[in-house]
Amino acid sequence: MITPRIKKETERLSTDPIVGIYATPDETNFRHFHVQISGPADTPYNGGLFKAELFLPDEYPMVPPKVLFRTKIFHPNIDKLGRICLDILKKNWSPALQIRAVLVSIQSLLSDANLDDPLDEEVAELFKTDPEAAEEKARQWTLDYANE
Amino acid sequence: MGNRGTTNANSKRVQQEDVPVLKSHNNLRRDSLCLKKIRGSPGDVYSLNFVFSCTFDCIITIQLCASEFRSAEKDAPTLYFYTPPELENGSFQYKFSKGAIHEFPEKAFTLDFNKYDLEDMTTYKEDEYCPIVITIENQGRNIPQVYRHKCLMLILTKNSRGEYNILIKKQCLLFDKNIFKIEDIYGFEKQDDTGDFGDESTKECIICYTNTKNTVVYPCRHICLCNSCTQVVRMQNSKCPICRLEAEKFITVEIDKQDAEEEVNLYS
Ligand SMILES: [Zn+2]
Ligand SMILES: [Zn+2]
Repeated sequence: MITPRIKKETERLSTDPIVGIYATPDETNFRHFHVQISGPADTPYNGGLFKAELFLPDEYPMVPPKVLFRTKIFHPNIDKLGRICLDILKKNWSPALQIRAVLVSIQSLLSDANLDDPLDEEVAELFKTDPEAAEEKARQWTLDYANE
Repeated sequence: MGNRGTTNANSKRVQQEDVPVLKSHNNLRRDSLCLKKIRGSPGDVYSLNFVFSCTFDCIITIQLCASEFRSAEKDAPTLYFYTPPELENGSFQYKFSKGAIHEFPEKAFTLDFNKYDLEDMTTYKEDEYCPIVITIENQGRNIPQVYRHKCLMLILTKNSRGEYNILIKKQCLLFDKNIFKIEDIYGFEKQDDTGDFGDESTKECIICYTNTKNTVVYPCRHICLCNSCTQVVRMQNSKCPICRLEAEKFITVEIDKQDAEEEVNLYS
């Protein structure tokens, strides 16, 4: 049974969508959302459409949603398996936050990578030592993988 | 309900208590309280202004440099304040008839800072001394026996530009042979400036989005949870969902659903 909270959050995502983010619930599982995030302007991800999956565990909202990137992305806080390093998805989660807040935070992570807490050391290293090369690579990946 | 928690060495659970919410018949709007400099007056003369509502006719008394006394008499404990008799304008009374929004008349009560010692006006000693006390006392018939009066204890502050400001240090209520200290709780604030209270969501528990919130997290005093979600938070991490501060205790208040949008004060 869908909980009133998940129902309300789902409704609000469709009636009051977030600019640049599309989240649609799976037809068979209300705890599973198919997400698409458009790459923010002024970033190497601009023009790309990044797919992700969002799952709400049974204990939600006492535990955070789980989010995985499905589109390959060259980003210091997102690894090859699509895992995202974001504080509110871990220790800074609070049940006062919502799916919305998570999606917005992921969107802003694309604009503002956190190089101090990288998930992929190699990627972070390149962003630190040669930001131009890193951005060029991120742009190329966006063209290659996020361009549908 | 009935699920009072206990604290013991083996348990990380945080205490939960139930307290009633008393309805106050007088409300002085905190954000309306201010001092206005009177132009053209010699020296530092300020007018004390505030907006206020009362369910009964009442008398407002303003006292300066007041010493606090509490009688410990068992059946009739009281709280009163003494003002030094030689102090000019030290005690002042004003009558109000019942009404929703009263503005305390401009210049009805003025403070001339040349006449007082700044230190006397800016220091506060709990249970002993208070620079400014406003007492609101209900008058007339049909007043519930249990309800008596409310005191606001104020101090002044002076900023670097030499402007005076006024701060509420403490509020007390005499109710049914008890003196209660009033504490504000956070979570029923107006959502916008239209004068309406926010939509349903300000009353709803922020976790289940279903039940009415009725539990205050201490020490941060955020009201955001319902009873059953409080149980879950207590079991899990006992942090306030709003500010993430470690909770010391949870206090469930009885909130009249229809009144939930009114200013809610918690008394303890
Ligand atoms: Zn709840
Ligand atoms: Zn809090």
